[in-house]
Amino acid sequence: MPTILLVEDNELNRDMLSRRLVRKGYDVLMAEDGAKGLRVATDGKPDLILMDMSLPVLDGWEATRRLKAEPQTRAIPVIALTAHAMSSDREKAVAAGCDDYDTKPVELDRLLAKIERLLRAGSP
Amino acid sequence: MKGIVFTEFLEMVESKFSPELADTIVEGADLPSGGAYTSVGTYDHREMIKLVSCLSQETGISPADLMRTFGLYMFERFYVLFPQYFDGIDTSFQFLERIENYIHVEVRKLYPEAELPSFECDTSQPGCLRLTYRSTRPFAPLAEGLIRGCIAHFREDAEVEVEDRSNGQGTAARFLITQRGTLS
Amino acid sequence: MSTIEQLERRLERERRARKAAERIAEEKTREIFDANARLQQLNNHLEELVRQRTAEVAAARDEAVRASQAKSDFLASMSHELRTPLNAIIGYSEILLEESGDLVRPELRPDLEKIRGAGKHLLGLINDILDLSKIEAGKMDLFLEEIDVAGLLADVSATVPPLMAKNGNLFEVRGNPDLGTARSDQTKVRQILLNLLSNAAKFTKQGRIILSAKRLTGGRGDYLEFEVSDTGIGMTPEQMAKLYSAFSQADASTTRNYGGTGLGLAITKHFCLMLGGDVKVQSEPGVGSTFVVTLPAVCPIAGETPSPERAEGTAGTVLVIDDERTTHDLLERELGVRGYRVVHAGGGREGLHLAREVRPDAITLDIIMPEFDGWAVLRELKADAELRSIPVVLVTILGDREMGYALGAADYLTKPVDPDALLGALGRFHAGNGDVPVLVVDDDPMTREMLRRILSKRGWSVAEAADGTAALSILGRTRPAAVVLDLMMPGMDGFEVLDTMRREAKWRDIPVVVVTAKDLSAEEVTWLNQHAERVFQKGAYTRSELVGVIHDMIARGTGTSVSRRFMEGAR
Repeated sequence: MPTILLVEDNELNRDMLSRRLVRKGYDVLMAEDGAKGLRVATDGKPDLILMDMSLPVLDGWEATRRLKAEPQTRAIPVIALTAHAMSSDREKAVAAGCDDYDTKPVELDRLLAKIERLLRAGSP
Repeated sequence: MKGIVFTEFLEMVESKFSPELADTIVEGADLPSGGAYTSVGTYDHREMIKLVSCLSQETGISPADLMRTFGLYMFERFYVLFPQYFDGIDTSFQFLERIENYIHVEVRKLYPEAELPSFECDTSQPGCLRLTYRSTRPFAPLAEGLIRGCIAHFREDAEVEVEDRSNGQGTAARFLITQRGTLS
Repeated sequence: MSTIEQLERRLERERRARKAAERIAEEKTREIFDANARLQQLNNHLEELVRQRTAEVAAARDEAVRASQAKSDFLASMSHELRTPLNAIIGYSEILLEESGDLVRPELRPDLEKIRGAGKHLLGLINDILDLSKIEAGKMDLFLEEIDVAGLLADVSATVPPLMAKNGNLFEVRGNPDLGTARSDQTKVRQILLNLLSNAAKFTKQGRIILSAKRLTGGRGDYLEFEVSDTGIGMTPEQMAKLYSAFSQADASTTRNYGGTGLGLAITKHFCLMLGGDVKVQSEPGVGSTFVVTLPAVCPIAGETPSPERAEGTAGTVLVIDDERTTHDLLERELGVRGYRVVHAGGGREGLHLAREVRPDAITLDIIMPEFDGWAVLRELKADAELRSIPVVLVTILGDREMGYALGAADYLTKPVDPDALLGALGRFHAGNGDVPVLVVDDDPMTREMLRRILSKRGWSVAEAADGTAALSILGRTRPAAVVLDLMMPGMDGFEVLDTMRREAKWRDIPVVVVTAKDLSAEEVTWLNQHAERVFQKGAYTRSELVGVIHDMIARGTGTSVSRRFMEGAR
């Protein structure tokens, strides 16, 4: 089963989303800040990363930029999760290298569709 | 009473009668000021009454007539001395209507203590001006002279009816001025 | 009657009349003089009042700016604080709903649905309230971008089927092929359409809802027309009248029966207007409603918040010598707004160099800079023939930067006093005549003697005081043309004298030339700073007042005023 790395600082959000993803059959890795997210991504080699944009230590944009700069992690698709629906956030996410974005509060079906699309595109 | 009335009066006596006569009435009137009048000064109005009375004795003309003549004379002097009050004025009625609300207001600005007579105007009838004169001093004939002088100045042909309203004291009068046409 | 006698009498009368006229003329002249003096006093008072009002207005403006910022911060944090727990409520109830499918307790589902539904409703309400608050606080921004209208339509249409299904409604989309692109705020347009569609879905049962879009060309360019029509319950004219008022759904029972927050249409209306368009409705009870949204294809209103106005032109160049970054920022902003061009120097040496190069119209100098001796800088400025006449404003900001101090002195000289410098300084303020004295305040009798000699040689009369108290006593009796003041005196020192003078309206404008020793020992510097600080402990200006004072001092022109600002606690 594909592994998803969830980088989210809010404990409840992390809990909710990880449980639902697990129920849908995914393996879930977690990190509570951007720096940890980088480490887990590098060590754990997930198939997809869900990155909350507002994170402590290192924010989501910077973490994404770094992931996309490193050859080992460059290919992992990243979906940015933002609290705002502002187009400026969308642009920022794309500029940082995110492959897609979604808004919080999470609508599971919508998010799942995006996850599936990206995973399909990645696999040969 | 403002000094200018006195200075003009004496000058009128000097020119219409003689300098000797002026000297005579000044000496004869026994004036507290001694007759040394400056136009910017203020003097007791009773001195004027004394002067007029002396002049009347010397000339045999009644004080009222003398004051009327003086009024006629004074109006033309006003025109020479204070042309600014005649700006934009073309008829006697226009001038007379201004006395209370404009001329006297201006006078009071410079001389706040001035005691001025009041002129009430009634223009309800066209071609007629009813002027009510009220004063604490008995100079109604002087007012009449000034009014006639005003009419003459604007070369108008108007009748002036005088109604004494002070039982002969000369402190209140009503003037009814009726326009007959204007002189060319 | 002898003619000669008559003429003599007449001559005598004329003479007396003339003398009387002269007396009257003199009286009138005096009256005019007195009236003028009173008028001048009134004018000064008026200027004082204006100064106060200006300071008050500036303070009020600062307060308003602060309040506005506080409001923004509040809205932002409230938004986050409110949504976070709600998301948890909704999220967990959804999880439980999903997981309950696995359990053998399906009867839990309805309860969980209720929790979820209530949570979603609450979230909608909070979102709407926050939106409305933002709009009303003037904090709702526009974010303009290129929009693919057809794409937006498709997006919205894809979201609504569940809403439609709830009441068994049929949904139809009709979009013209040539909708093209638009420049507007996509999020807001989407919100408008979703609001209208969700309303339509709520108030229609087993009916039909149509969303259509057209692109039209009008007098002022292209515009887009979106229409949402339904075959729902419709509205009466009375209901339509209250339509866009927040919280007034057609009537109280509506919320209960049909759901919704009652705010959506108010927000929709606001958004339409913000985007340069409008929304209109036609409706018939029992038949249905049609909402028409018209928006210009290119939003006519700028998306950016306007930048604050900057004063046009330059009132002059001011060189700021200070080692604190914050002072530079503060002065840059406050003086810049008043039209001054501000040049910055981080220390004394740099300041002197820039002063020579730039020749500013005024200099502000921080007298206490740890790395540089501010007094030494001041001394050098005044010793330099080319820089001597530039007015120096000595500046102090107190710790929290809300308060500052300005001591009014017009010029600064070092002992031994250069006669030319002193006379030059005084000459700038007064033409110098024998009647009005210069007050010399110094505790050293030899200095006083020397200053007296210099001044009286040039025609000034001189009054002397050996200390501050004596000086104030003299000021109480005579208004001098200027004051030459030693700062370092026992008892009441020069700072206190300056402070007292500045508080008295009648003394405030008397120019003061401050004199101190050329080379100050460390103790003397400490003495000066301590005494200065003691004085402004008593009553510093608020920052806005202070800046106003500095501005006045600089603006009052060449050779005037020195204000002192000392850093305290900020180090």
